[in-house]
Amino acid sequence: MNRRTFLGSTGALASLALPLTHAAKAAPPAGTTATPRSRTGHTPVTTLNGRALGYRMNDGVKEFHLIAEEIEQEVAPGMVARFWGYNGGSPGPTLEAIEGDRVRIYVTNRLPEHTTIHWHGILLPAGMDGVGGLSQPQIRAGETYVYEFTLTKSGTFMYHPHADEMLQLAQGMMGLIIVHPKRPGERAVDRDYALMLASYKIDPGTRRPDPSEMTDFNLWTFNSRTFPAIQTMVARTGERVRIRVANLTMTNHPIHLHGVDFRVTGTDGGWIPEAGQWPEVTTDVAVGQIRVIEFIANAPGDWAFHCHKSHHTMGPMGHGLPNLLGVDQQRATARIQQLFPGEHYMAMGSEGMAEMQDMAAMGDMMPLPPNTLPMMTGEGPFGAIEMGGMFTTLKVRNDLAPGDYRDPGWYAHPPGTVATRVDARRADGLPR
Amino acid sequence: MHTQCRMRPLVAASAACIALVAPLHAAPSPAGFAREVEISGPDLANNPLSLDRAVRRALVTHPALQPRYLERGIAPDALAQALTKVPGTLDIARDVLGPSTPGDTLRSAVLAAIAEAQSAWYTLAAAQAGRDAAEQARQAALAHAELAEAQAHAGNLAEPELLAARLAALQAETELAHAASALRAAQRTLNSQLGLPVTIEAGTTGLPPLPSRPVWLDDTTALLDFARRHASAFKQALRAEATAEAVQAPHITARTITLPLGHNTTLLADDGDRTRWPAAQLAAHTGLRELEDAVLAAQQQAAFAWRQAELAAARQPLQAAATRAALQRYNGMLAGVDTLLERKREQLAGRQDEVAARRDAWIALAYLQVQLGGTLPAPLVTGGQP
Repeated sequence: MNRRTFLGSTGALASLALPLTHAAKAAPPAGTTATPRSRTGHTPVTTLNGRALGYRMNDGVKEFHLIAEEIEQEVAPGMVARFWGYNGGSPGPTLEAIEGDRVRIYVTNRLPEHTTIHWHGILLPAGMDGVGGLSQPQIRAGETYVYEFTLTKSGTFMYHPHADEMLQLAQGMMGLIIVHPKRPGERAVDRDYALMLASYKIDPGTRRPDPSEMTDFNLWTFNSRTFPAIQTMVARTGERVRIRVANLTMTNHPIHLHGVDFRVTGTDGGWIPEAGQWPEVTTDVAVGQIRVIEFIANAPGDWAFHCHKSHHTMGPMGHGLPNLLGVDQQRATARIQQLFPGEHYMAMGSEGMAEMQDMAAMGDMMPLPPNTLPMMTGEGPFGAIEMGGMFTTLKVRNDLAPGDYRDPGWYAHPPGTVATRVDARRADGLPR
Repeated sequence: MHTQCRMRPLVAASAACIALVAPLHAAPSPAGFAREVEISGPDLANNPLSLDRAVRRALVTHPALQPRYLERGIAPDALAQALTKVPGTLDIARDVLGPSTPGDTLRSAVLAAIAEAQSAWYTLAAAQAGRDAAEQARQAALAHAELAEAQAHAGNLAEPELLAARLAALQAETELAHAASALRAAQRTLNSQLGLPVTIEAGTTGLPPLPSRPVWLDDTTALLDFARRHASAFKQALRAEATAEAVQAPHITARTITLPLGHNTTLLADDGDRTRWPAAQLAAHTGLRELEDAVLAAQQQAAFAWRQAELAAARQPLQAAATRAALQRYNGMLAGVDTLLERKREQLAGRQDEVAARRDAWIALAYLQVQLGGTLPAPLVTGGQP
């Protein structure tokens, strides 16, 4: 089938609704179990809260279909965003292929304006690079274009528009491309996770990201979700784990993983030779970069995985607020409460901001604006986690079955391995 | 004017009018004239005055009316007792004013006095609400200043911001002082209108909400027609005009005249018979035009004031919602307490504007009612007069 007959046939778009037999090898989301290894032995990638894009084979060519469209998606419980994405999600589904594959990617534009797709990091003919006006005409609203190239190297890559880029990226148009090595067993891991860092400015009470915001974002997301809605990563003790982190925000993110040391094994430029790797617990992912980290999950437990910029692990918060830490608000509070009869006003911030999580829990008494998220949230086995934004966990268990991606629940700490409160007298006389 | 009430079901005599309480000052009036109404003053002042009570009192004690009562031999005490027998809300045109007679100026004096008293009552009611709002605005400013002081004490606020908060609190105190002064002035005015002792701090039952906008308010033709049929001044002017027209039959003769225009321009025109110029007709016609103009002016003022009040009222829920939204944002630490207090102050300022606009609408309506002969074309639909 050539392109003309393919697109000219009745129900062409319907026929583009790939795949049939080659169903998306979406890595199982949390709550599901094993996915078999592929014919090359690679472990399918798990896109947190996402899926892989289906394809079909056509004369030896893998055919994908991306549809650029407006979607509505939950960022976290209590907030829905109106993104522009692909195939019903932001980020779009992950394209997964094998080094050497010939791929043909149809792109249908259901947006109100033109778009293109740039295949970030993929080495390909210039005319397939997806820069509107430079390497191809813009894909106008309602049109379908096709890209075709050969994946000449394995690695981790991105796709995103190169048309009205500031707006379209701000609206959530991005996705990942995973190219597995062709040689069986090469760079094999037991768990392979992927996530895209994305930031948005969605004012409380609104739904659509503000495209005019350049720096002051209030939603810091993994795959356009914030904690606690971000899928938990799991691993069996001793497994080799890979996490691919791509950054299409407008700032850098020092990504930190607790409980292990890791090596940065790849970038969007390719794999890093072993001799060039060194141990890290935090790696900075700059704008438009990808960092692939790998480690042996050798310590069971529930381990935090997050951006180390502290304002990226929290929900929306105002700026320029009065600094009330250490401030006695008693008199003023009594006065203010009289100004709001029938409503609840509470002083906040005198002793810290952790009470914000309690405030968020008092939604009926002290409601937040509609369609926004609390500044901090999350409940753990020991109480409030007080996080948000770019935060999730890696749960390592001795008894997790291979291929089991179900959330095992909270870690049962062995006796004597949890920090405990002691009598104040025990602290007396300690060296200072 | 009726000094005796018509036969109606009697309500209990108004204690306000006849209560035998000790006066603040010795009553200057002799028994049988206005002693009873003078000693009822303190009692009236101790209870919030409804507009009806104020109107009844003004009818009896208004300083512009009492000299006329003296001339007519009407004892205010007797009038007050007669009024206690009029149940419900007093309707001046229906319950008080008798048929108009040519040359009777008491009728217009009564209408003017009632309008003044109503105006004073509305002003006081608005001043009360304005003072309450100013007090709340002061509380908001004080809370902001107290927070600023506590922040500075904790080492969190520098001097310029602290000074700004202190200045804002002083400004709020100043505005409260203005509001309190306006309240006292309004009390003095109402005391004067109602013949109450000057030291009494009278209060009202509160400025009522505006009823639905009456259709007739914007119908100039209908209002003029109504005035011609109901206002005694109009009736008298119309009669005067008709009379003048009847007696005038100008005999027209053509002759040359010189108008006092530039360059001694000489025009040929017919100015009739000088000896029979229609002076009375012209006067009657001018008088009628002045009455019509007065009605139109009052109607335009009332319509404008009503619209302003409607718009100010429409802003109220929006400003309240803005304050609620600020509280929600405060709850989520999306906005600071300073922003919350600022929204509250804006809401309170809006409330003061709304009260002032509503006061002006009621006052304008009262003066339009005077122009229409003491009554309105149709009752106000909801709420009505307080």
